[in-house]
Amino acid sequence: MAAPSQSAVVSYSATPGFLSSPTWTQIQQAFRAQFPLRNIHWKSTSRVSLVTIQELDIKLVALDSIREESVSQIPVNLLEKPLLNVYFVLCDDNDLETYRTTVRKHAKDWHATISARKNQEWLIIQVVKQDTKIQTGAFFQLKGTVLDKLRAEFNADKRERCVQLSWSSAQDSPMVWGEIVNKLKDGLLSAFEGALSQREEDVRRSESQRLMPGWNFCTFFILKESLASSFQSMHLLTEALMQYDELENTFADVLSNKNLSWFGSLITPAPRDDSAPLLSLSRKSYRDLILANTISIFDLRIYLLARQCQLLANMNQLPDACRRSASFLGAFGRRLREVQDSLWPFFVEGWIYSSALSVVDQCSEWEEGRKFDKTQLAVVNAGKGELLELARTQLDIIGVQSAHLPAKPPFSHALSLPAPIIETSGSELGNKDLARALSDKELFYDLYIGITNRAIDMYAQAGRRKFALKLHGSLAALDVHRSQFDTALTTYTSLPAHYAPHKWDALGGLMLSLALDTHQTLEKPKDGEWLHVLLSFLSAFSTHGPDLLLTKEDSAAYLHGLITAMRVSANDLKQDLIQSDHSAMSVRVHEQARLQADRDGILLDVTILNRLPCAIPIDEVGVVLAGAENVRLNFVAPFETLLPGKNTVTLACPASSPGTYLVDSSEVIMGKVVFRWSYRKDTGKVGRVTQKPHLVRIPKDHHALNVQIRQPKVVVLDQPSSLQVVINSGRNEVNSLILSLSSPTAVFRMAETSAVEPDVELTATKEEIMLNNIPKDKQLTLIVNHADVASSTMRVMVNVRYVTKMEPTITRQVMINQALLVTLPISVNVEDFFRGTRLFSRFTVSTTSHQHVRVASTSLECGHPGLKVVKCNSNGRDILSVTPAQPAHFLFFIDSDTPVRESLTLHVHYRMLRDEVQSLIEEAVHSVAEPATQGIIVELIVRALESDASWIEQYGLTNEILLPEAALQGVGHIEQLQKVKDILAQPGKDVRASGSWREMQIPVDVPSMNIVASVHLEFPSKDTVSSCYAGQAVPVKLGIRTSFNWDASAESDPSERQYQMQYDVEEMVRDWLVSGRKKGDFIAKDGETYTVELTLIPLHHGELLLPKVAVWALPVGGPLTMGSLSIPSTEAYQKHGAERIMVLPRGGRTTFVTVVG
Amino acid sequence: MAPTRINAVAFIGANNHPILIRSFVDNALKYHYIAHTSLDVIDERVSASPKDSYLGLLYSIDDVAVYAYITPLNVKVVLAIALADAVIPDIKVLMIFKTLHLAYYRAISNPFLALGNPPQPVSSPKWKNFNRQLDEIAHVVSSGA
Repeated sequence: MAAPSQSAVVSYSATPGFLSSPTWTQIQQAFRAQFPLRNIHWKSTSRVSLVTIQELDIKLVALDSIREESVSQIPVNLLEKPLLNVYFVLCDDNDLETYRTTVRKHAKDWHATISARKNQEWLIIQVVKQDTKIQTGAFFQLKGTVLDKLRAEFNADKRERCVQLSWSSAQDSPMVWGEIVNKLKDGLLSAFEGALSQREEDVRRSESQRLMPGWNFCTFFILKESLASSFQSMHLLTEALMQYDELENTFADVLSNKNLSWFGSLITPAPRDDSAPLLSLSRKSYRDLILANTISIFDLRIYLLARQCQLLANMNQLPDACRRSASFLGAFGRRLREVQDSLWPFFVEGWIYSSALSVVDQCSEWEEGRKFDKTQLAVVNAGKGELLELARTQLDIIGVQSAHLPAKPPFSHALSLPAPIIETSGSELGNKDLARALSDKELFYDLYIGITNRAIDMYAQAGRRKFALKLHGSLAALDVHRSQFDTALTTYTSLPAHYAPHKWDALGGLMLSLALDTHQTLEKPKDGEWLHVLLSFLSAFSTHGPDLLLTKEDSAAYLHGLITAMRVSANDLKQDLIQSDHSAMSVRVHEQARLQADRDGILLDVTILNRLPCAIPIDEVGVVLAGAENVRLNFVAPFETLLPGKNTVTLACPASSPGTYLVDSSEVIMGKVVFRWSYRKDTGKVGRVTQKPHLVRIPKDHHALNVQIRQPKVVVLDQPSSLQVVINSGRNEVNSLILSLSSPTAVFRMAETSAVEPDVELTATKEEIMLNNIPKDKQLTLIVNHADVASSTMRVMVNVRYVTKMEPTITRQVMINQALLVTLPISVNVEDFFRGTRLFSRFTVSTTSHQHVRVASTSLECGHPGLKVVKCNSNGRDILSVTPAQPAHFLFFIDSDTPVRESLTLHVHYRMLRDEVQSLIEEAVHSVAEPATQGIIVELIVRALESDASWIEQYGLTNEILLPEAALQGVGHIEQLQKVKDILAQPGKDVRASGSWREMQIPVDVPSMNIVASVHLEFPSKDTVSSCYAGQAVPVKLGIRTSFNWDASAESDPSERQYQMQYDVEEMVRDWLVSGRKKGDFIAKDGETYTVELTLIPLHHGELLLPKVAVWALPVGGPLTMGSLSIPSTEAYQKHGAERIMVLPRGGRTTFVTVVG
Repeated sequence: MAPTRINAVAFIGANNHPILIRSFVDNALKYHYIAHTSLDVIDERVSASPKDSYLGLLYSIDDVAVYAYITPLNVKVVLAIALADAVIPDIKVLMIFKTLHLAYYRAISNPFLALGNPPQPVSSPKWKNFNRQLDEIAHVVSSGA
């Protein structure tokens, strides 16, 4: 059957006279212009949803030209017969006469003919000429219009089938056709539905008889197909496709019931069956074959598919068509293989091959002239790619079976069973390309590569990278087979990278192993590139192990060979090849490091897991630990063979830096290949996985060489800062030692370094200090100067490298990072008081931190012989405790006759309470315990004391240290601890003698004062002072004595100087009435007294303080001040400042006179 | 109707890492390839209709039809069914997928299983039970039940 016509048939008829008139030609033309009909909404009674037919073309034919209903029993397309018959009546509305005489009879005849036909609708259109209407408009009507007549005579039921068309040749408006078009649509649908329901009923009936004997699928097929083609003609493509799908299902059902009696065979191969275009409907006269009941299943299935695909193509669903074709080819190809023996060799493969290619071509053809957006196009291309790959697969099969290709993967994938080699010339093959390729190897390869590349191209356009990768892999396999190893190697080495990102190790690993094989075959040198491939392969192998899809039979032996080769080429490499985080091995570092027993050094156990099933020869294992502030410890150990599974290696580091370290990286070294694992967290995304940092604890070695940094014992404030480096050689007899210090904040003057102990072989350079020949257990103290530091603490990095006598070849290293408190723990303030020739200085010592400071003594020293310094003797305890709450005061007086220009130095001997107690503990422990355990016990006691502060008060009073019991429970060393405890708890220890004291030297300048004035108020006699009445005037003498004794600045003799001064007696209006010169100027001279007479009157009784007198100097100019005025410094003190005068109340009688009345 | 024969099942993680590829016939490599290439098609399907779990027939190649299913957590299940000359109803394939999905969830409910990224390799003994379950499913389906 040809493709169903895409239009519905509508017949027309009219009186012969009208048909031959030019008006008819015009009308017909206008009528045809309304087609195709658009947007027909079909609400079928048997279907749920409303279906819209977008466009339906109408074939307008004369009624006479239609043949009478065919007598054939073959069900045909419902649309081949007219669905609607239209009768045109040219007659004015009032022209009943014409109607009656000419039209009526003809119309009646027409109506009779039409009504006899099944499932056909009719429509009468009365054409009214508009231009004639005007004349007849006013005519008096009695008998109704022609339209009424028509309706009365023909339109029996409710449905309106008579329409009027106001025709005007002049104005051809679409409006006038509106109603007619609607009627047309209605009529068409109604007729179609009628015909359809009848046909559907037929189909149903036929289907229900399926199990009856004599039922013929072909008949049913034709019937059902007529339904499908009717739908197709009505542009109901989905409905049409559904019919075919149902047909396919029914066919499958029938097939599964083995009800094949009406089919001759599965296939009767015809010469070009295997190469004809699959989707071509004209490939065979399918319909005739079906009607003749001679069609084979093969042809029927192809016909069905072709129909479906055609519909899908019309529906713009090319991808679906591709997919259906591919599925069909695969599925039906399988069925054909069942009867392969009855077919010529490679019939099935040839058929699938040619068909797939033809479908691709057909799709491209359909694609033309249609527009697809990008995504649709991609899907279409993907479909084509699949088809091309299907064709390629057939080439695989043909290739393997014709010995063009080896029977191994990937070529053998398509073969489910090992297939025998078939000798054939391929002459029967319909596809001549294939036939030629069968006999010519090179042609075959070209074909193979061509098709594969086409498929790759399609996949690439479709964005299906992974399919393309697979095909690339197969091309490489072909290259190997054709001994084009170079190309194959390039492909194989480039492919794994594409599989790597998502861990498709199985596929990536296979590619790598193939690359290695190809490399081997090529006998290329095993260089760095080869090593890279091998390392990637080992990585894949270790994660997948035996699951890796190796084609090798003995993977262990294969692997062993590879590793042996790797060992050789690893040694030959020119430069190091660093392989990060390789998964073939993993290194686990144990958490606790150990100390070497008899020498300085740390041991670290490491477990290396070898995930490969064979031994790996290596050279060395290394681990780097990272401490604070870039301290790095390198642990290494040589190691020969890593057996499969766990290997434990002990690594050594010739250093002793206790503390907690982070595992930074580990390495396994094989020749120049370095496997490295980094444990740092900041390495990209991997760090986000919640991994705890891997820590290693290194214990303290009490016998190892030890370096400490301390504040110096003596601090002189106006000298450059320095620090003390204490080196303890421990168990080592040191040959040579190099020490260097560094700090981010300070600069060390290493060249100025000096040793405290005598006979030290010391060489100091700008950066380093070298010491030679240090005996065992020797403590050396070095003083290193450094530039001042702004902050309170200084981080000092001490780096010591030393060589012992025992192992002169090993340079050991100690790296210590220590924070040194630079600020002094105490601060000193001074207050000065001048009294004539004497100066009283009060020093206040306070602690700057929260720690308690013990002050042993203070002294003020001066080199000036004429100066007498006396310390105020405090008779209290000999050692003072300075706490944050309670500073200590020290008072000195200095007596001098002449001005003092030299500065004095205050010496403070002090130490921290903590240091003092620690030294007490150390002493106690030394007297009790073995040297080996001393360190530990001291540490235990110190920790116990730290935990509890209640002992401090008692210690401050009695020097007894009462160890807190609770903190020392269950720590061992009970005996020694008990002894130490007893010693510490003894009262009356000589604390001062134990341990060392720190000294701070502070330079103190003696203050200078131009004028020191002393003021006194002198009463005439002692009596006055003792008895004085309120209101009684007391004459006093105000004396101001001035001294220039403390004027250190003046060059000239003090006796020659004089100053203009002023005095002012304080107003005390409540207590005293002052009379006389209470304010005045005077000239001050050294050692002289200025006197003024005043009278004081106490205003009330009681003990009264005398008024104070303020004295100050007036500004002076002179050569010293370079012309400008300056005020000489003056200190005045009141001699009578503390005196009080007893004022008695006035005795005797007092008369008060009051005025009365 | 002939029983459906499962040739291989593949579970692929949300990040397209293979979790498990289990083939019940020879030629494991082929099914690795199928699982890998399916990802391309799955991507196409998911972007076309993001809500469906069942992605239907992806493609048919050689003698297998490849179906896919995507779990709400984006684990992809790829099923390779031996191609037969009959349409396998989607409902049946979906049922197989649901069973596989359930088996997977049972397997990862193991608290001792490290669900890292990437997931534990296929060879891990933790999957033993899961493998056994898959075998059973394949067996049951193939026997036509």
